[in-house]
Amino acid sequence: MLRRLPAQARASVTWAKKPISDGLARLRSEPLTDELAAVVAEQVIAPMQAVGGAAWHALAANLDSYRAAVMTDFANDEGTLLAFVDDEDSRDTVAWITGLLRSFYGTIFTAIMPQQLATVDEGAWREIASMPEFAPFMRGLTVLMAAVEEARVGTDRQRARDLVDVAFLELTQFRDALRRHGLQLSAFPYATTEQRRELLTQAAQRVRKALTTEDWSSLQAARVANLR
Amino acid sequence: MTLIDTNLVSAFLHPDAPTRFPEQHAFVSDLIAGDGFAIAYVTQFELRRGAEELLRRGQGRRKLVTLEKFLDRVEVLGLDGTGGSGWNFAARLWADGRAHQPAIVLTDADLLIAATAAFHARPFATSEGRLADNLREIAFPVEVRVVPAAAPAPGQAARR
Repeated sequence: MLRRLPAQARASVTWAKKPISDGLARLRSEPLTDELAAVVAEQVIAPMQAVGGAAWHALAANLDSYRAAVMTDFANDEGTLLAFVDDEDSRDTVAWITGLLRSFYGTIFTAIMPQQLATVDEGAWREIASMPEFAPFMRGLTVLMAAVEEARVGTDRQRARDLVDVAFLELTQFRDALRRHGLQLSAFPYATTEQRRELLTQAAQRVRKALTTEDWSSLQAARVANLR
Repeated sequence: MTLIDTNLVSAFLHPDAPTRFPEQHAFVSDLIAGDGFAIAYVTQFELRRGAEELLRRGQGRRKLVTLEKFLDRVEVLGLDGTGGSGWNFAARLWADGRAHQPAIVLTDADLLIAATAAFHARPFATSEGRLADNLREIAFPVEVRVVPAAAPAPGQAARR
C-alpha cells in the first residue's frame, strides 16, 4: 500500500516501515504462539494505522481506484502465498482468508462514501482499532502479512503454512465478532450450489486426513451428555 | 434440509469413515449431493471443544483449522430465536418426555439437538435408534430418520 501513496503522503509515513518490518521478522523467526501474535500486532498497530490513514486520505477521493488497489494487493498476496505454500490444505486456507477479507472490505467500501472516509481522523482510527472486536482482525492481518513476507523473501514453507493457520484462526474470531453485531460475512459468498458441495466434501476429506484414530476418539470423548 | 445428530457427523469425519461407518458415510454424502445438511450449535460445541483440547495438548493447530473450515461450510442452527423461543420449545419437549408414561428422559445434548431440528422444522437424522423411538413416543413434530450404526469394534462401546 505504501508504494501506491503520492510522494508527500509516502514520506510522511516512511517511519512506519521499520517497526512493521521488525514485527513481521519476529513472527517469521520466533516461536509462533498466540502471545507473540498479540504482542506483535500491538506493536505494529500504530504504524499500520498511520499507513492506512495516509492511504485513506490520499486515495479515498477516488473510491473505485482505492478499492481496485486494495483488491489488486489481495490478489498479488494471494498469488504469492498460493505459489509458496505447497500443500492443498494451506492453499484452501489462503483462499478462505482472502475470500473473507474481500467480503469484509467489499462491504466497507459499499457502505461508506468517499466523503465519509476522508473525514475519519486519527483519533477515530485509534478508537476503532482499540475495540475488542477488532483485535483478532489486527492480529490476523499482521500474521498474514508475515506469511506473505516469508513467501516473498524467505524459504521456510512450513513457517508460512503455520502463519497462515494462525491468521485463519484469528480471522474466524473476527468473523464471529462481526456475526455478533449482525454482519454475516462469507469467505465464499458467490459460490454456486455445486461449488458449495465440493467445498464441503473437500473440507470433510481434509478433516479425515488430519485426524488420527486417536484424535477422533478424543473428539468422541468431548461429547456432551448432561449439562449438569 | 436435514439436521444431523453429532453421532452422524462424527462417523462421517472418522479417518476411515467410508469403510468403518459405510452407512453413515453414504447417508451424509447423499445429503451433500442433495440439499445439504445442517447441524446444531450443540454439535458444533462438541466438535470444537474436542479440537480445542487437542490444540492445548500441543497436537497441532492444523487439526483445529481443518475442523473449523468444515464447520464454516456447514449450516449451523441454534435455539436463540426471538426471545429464546427455541429454548422454550426444548423445555416443552423435555416436559413432554417427563409426563410420558413411563417417563422418557433424554440427555441434555440429545434433547437440545433434536429440539433444534424441530424448532427449525427440519427433518432429524441420528444413529441412535432408541433416541428416535423416544422422540416418536412424545409426538416429536418433525420426521426422524435412523441411520443404522455399524457394530462397534471389539472393546469399544457405542455412544448415544
